[in-house]
Amino acid sequence: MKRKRLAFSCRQAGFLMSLEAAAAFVLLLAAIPLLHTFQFKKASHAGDFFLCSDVAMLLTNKQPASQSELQEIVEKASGLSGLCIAAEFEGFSASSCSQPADDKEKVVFSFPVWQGGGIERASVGCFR
Amino acid sequence: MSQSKAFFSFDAAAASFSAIILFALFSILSFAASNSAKESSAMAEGELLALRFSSYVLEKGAKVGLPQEGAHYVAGEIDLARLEEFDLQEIVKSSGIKYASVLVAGERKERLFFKEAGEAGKQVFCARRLALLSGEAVRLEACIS
Repeated sequence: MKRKRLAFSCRQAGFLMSLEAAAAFVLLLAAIPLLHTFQFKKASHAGDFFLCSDVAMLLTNKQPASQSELQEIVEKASGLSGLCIAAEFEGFSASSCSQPADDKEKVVFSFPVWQGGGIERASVGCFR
Repeated sequence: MSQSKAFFSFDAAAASFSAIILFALFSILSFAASNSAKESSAMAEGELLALRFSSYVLEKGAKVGLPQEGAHYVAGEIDLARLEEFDLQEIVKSSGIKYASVLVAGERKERLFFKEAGEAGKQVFCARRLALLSGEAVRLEACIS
């Protein structure tokens, strides 16, 4: 009915227009403002890799002897780097952020530490 | 004698209009994509250069161990006196960059050391690193332009 009316009014004006053409035109106009949503850039995380390796170096140099000491170092490093840091060192573990890193891009380092004459595995994970 | 009557159809007009718009959009899109790729590669290059520069600063400013221990460099630990000796002007001159700066800040963002050389351009790339300074964790920021 509506189509008939539109065709009629257009024909009266000397034009011929179908509903499909009108809909396509409206959709096209509606799509133009959405163009800016196309994004080509992705945040670079190259710096996080270096920062995380620095945290591993920091832990190796500082050699935390207790859980609270490890937590203090992790929180300090997190504040300075702006990263969420989770570390495991000589049986202790500490984290600066409460949220899980499951769905985030995470950088993880495992490194050897000397403990009681033997080598143990320590690890540090960083994410934003 | 045949007589042809020209008429204007909205369908045809809309189709040609859509075609023109689509071509224009595709060209804008491809232009934006190439610009973005160029910008991204410049960003990546700048970031990597800043990271390499930060590693260089960390190495050059590394604390020297005790002579009785063989006067080795302590990795990840910096010495402000050694950073002070660092000739940024010479680096700017010899490496062809316009600007270089080194900042060392503490936990409360207090500035412990700052040195710069050259004039910063439109884009400055900075790399943030962590190091130890007198046993305390500090933030080192090396920037280039």
